[in-house]
Amino acid sequence: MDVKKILHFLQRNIWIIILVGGMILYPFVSYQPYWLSLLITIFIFAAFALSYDLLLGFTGLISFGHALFFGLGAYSIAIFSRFTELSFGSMFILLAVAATAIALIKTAFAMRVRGIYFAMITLALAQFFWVLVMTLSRYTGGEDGMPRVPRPVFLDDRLNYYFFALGFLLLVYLISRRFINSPTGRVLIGIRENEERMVMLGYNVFKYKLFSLTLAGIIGSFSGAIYVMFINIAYPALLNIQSTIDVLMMTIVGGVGTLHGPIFGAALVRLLSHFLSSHFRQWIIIFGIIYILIVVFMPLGIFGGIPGFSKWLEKRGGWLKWIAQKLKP
Amino acid sequence: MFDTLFFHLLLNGLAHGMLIFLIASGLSLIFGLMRVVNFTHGSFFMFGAYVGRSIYLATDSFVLAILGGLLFGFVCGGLVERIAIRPFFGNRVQLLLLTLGMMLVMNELVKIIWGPTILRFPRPDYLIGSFMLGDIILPYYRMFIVGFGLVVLVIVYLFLNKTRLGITIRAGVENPEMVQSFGINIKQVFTFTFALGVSLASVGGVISGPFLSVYPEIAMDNILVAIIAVVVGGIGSFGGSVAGSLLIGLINSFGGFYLPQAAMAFNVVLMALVLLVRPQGLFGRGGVAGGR
Repeated sequence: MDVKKILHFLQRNIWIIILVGGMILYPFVSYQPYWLSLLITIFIFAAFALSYDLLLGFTGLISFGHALFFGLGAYSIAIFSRFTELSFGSMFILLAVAATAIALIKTAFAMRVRGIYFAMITLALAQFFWVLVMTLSRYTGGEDGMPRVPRPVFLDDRLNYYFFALGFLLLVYLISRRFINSPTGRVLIGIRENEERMVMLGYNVFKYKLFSLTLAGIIGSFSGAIYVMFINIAYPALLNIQSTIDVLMMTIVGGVGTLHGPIFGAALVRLLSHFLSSHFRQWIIIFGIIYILIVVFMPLGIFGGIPGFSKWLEKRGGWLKWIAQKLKP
Repeated sequence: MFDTLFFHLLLNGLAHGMLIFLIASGLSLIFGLMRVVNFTHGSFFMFGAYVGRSIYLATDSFVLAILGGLLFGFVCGGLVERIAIRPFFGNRVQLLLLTLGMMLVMNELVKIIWGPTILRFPRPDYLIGSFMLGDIILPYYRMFIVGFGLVVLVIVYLFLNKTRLGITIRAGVENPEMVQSFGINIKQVFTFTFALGVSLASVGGVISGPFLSVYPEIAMDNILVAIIAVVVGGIGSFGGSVAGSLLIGLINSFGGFYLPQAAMAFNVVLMALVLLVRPQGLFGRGGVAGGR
């Protein structure tokens, strides 16, 4: 490791290092349980939104049923911990298997139907599970949900949960980035741009869509599991259309097809809905109007423009040089 | 098999199917012609119910309520198309997200205007009561819904097949560029079709009011069911939306009786089967679904 490499690494990842560092330091600067809780939910939803963007932004699959994975995670933990003696580790392994199975079903549909039809069928699949949860109330508690979901002992401390959620988000971000920049990720972007061309070039589109849906499904369901362990209750609204609309908005507002967009989008949506809901009773209408304005005037999302800025910086030799130039007398 | 219960469920299913048809037919025409999934359709159904109820309570005339709902839907539909759909034409994803956002706003707006609780929509006197056919009880109002749906069905069918504008619309579903190359202003046809579709949904809302009562959630419940009906029947096909709606209505009625709460699951299973076996829908034409 020479200095140049380290400098290059720092330069590439400076924003992540600053943000993660700031988030790590934050609880030591001002420890307010209320804010910590809000940040924990932001981290979890950011990971969820990121997984959605893997589908929408990077594979070009419009899914209206992504909440299915979130709810799957939530209810798996709730049901396993109530009816079995499994450890948390094995619960998560089983959850990953279940998410893969559902991803396989969705991929089978994705190969048959495209575009809006795929959106509708994923929506219907999610609603089907929602009905299942509402109907099998003996196991799922029906409309009342399943309270008293346990969590590992070491996560009972809110500060530990904060770092756990932050670590989860960071891990998800790094995995997604690695995935998108890998040859597989490039093929996915190729599918997004022109599926026929990728078929012609001899790529097995089924396999690549399955990769994408599986990764998004596992991340989404783990987010759901971590969310339900935090709030201690699994309820049906976690997997209905409203939940999908929430994650859709986070991704759109932040910026589709970027990795940082959904994270900031999640933060913005959560904070905005938090403040609006404490000041206005019908806050969703204000929120909806903001959302419409973003769709109309900023189709790339609020943070979709940042890559352009980064590229502009890179042309000028990266931010370190840029600052050095600015500092030159 | 053919006992009183059967006829009761049959009438119920047909009535429900007709209400779905009033939403689905417009949805299907708009999608077929403009390739826009109009998520506000369910919201206009809901608004129609509220507006119709207000008119009925104010004027005490159910006919005026129906006409008011029709006019309300036509004007609002035309305005929405002009203001919110036309500028974004060609960008399907943006339009999808836009109508989704408008749906959210409308579903909240209704709570501000009329409040979030369930409101009762009284039946007009002449539609209270039931017709007795031997042992079979046939409530007038449900028969009225079926009859009304049939009348609308025939009118829209004649309009689409016998009038110049209707034929233009059907041609537009097949190939909008070709229609335009004949010198027809397809944008005006778009606006009219959108307004027509919305007014059908809105009038459906008015007549659903006394049957299902009026509350904000009817928007979301019905848009999902209508989308399923459209996909099952075949997008862009008028006959398909009729068949899909009635099928879904009957499944809901019979399935809902024998396995309550699972009705939605039946719909979804039906849609999944249809899409897997015949992706273009029962009456749809063309190859791969979503190809164009």
